[in-house]
Amino acid sequence: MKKIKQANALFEFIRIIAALLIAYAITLLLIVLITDDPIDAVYHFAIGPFTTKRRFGQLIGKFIPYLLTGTGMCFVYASNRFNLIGEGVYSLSGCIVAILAIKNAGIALPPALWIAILLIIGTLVGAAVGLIPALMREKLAIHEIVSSIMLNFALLYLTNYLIKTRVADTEITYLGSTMLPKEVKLTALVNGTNIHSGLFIGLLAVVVATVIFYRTSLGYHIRICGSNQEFAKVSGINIARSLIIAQVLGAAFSALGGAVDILGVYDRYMWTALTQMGFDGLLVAVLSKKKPQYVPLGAFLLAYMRTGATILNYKTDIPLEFVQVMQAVVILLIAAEQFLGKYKNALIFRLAKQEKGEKNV
Amino acid sequence: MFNLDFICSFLASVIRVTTPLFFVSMATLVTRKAGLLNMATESMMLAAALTGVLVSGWTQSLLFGVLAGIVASAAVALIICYCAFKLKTDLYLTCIAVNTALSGGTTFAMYVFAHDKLYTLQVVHSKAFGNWNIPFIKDIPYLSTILSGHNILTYVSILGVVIMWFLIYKTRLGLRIRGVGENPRAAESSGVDPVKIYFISFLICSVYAAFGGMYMSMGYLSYFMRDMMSGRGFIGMSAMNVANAKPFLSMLTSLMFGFSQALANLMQLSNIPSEAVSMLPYISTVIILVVSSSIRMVLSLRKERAESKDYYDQPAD
Repeated sequence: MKKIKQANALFEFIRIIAALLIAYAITLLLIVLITDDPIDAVYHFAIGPFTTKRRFGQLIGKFIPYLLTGTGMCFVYASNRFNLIGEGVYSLSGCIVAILAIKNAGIALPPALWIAILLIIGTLVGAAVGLIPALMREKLAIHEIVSSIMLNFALLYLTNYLIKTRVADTEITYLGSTMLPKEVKLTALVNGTNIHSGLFIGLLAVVVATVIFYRTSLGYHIRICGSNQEFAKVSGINIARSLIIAQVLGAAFSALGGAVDILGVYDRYMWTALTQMGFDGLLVAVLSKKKPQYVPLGAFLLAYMRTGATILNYKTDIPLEFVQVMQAVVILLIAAEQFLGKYKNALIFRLAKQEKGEKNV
Repeated sequence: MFNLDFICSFLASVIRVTTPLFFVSMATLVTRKAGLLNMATESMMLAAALTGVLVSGWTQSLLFGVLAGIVASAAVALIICYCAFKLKTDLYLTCIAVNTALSGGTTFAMYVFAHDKLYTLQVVHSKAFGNWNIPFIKDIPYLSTILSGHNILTYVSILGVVIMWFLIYKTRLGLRIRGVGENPRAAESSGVDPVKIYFISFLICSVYAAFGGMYMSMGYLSYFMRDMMSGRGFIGMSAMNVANAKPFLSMLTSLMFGFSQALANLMQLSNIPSEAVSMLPYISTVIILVVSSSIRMVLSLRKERAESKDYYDQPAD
């Protein structure tokens, strides 16, 4: 049995690598087709993020929110719900935090305490909004994809409205808030880069999520409900409750990500279009196979891909959006049960036969 | 302001914004009848909308544009089917991934072919569907404002509902689709291949979605705009779900969703901030879903109770 388990794990790893390679191949093909200088383009995309300190800082700056949205989506994805409200609450939490910080500039509180309060408020707002599609799904059987996407659009316009009417900066040509006060900025760990102390919050969240996942009955219930609802039912698990908590936790982590991101990287709030964070979080969860302990790997990989695409976007004429196609290919292939399934089955069959042969001897 | 002329032109605008919802609700209806929810009509629409504009712009032929749009939409459907039913990726995950891929992919393609990331206006001069005045009705005052002079695709969409009703309830294929939807295993045991039916229903769905998409870029507007469907795929699907997948009832519920959209468009002209008004179609979708599901829950609970009462009331022999 041990051999078969090992073969299974090995195969999962090979499948992820194969999926990434295929996605890279498709991307390279796209780049080669549309640019005059493919070698230069590939260099920017693949090596670019590691060439300067600033760029690596950008990579880590993206890595931090991915840690949080990725862990959040692990809960949602593990419960087999595709609730994308993480997208909307990410901006909403960032927006609320930005407004509070600007309106209360110069507040007489120690900065660390004030930042902690802001982050908690952002998280709670996210959790409260995340409760809506979760309740709609578990109590009224309204599909969570539909409700969460509708709410995401509504939240996008709501945040734009709040920014426009409350804290809009009239001196800039685009819609954005005024500058965030200095005291709420998360401290930079490396000067002149986007690497900020939110990194610790992100890593702590991964640890907390891993503990909830594997060391509490809640985590166990969520995993059972996600993988086999019939079994959960006969074991007397409160399915609705577990699934609602899973989705709310997902929204809360994502909202924390938005709050950390706005206080860590940005000078002002300016997310006037959907941030794609909900989808990116889902990709991280798929890459890490719903296991929070692997989220840092998935988050790093995605941050690397995204930073490479951004560099490519401003160095050459290739639009950033191709990376979305690439991400979709990765998701489709990794989540495909039958991708390379024939080889896997053949291998396991052979191993099982071997084992049986050994026993008979 | 609120005279009869105004009301008539408002009702006409309701029909104008509901047209894509007619198409989408029928598109999602056929897959729902096969037992699957298609969350990716949005990306099918995007693919068709962009391809239709580009191809008709190059060839200066509406027909080629339409055909290319349908092919593009069908290609998306085939990718989804291949991933979901052959590679066994979760259908919903597949749809989410495809939606994101197409949202980025159409922007990418638009940049490559039209050198703009926002819209194809001024760059590609595509053909568009014309308007049609209905004989006789166009001479009746007021009624003509509401019903006549709409885009051809509006009338096609109404015809499409009738065709869908006929297909689902009056043909052998429709029976098979419903059979697979009710119980795939039972259908399989009577010799119907569910996977084949899934492919067929997704292909039919893609044709309807293609027309919905092309209406947006070659009728309602005359250019393609980044992410121009803005949730219409999901709103149309909600209309179908509220109507419990009944073709003609879906039309009525689509009109209800179209009404809130038209109302929002109208309110853009007032001095309420446009961001607040833009929320209206989405919020009203959520509210309508909650209300209709609550009613359905209460009704089914009542039915259940009535049935159990019958059971206990039976005299014991």
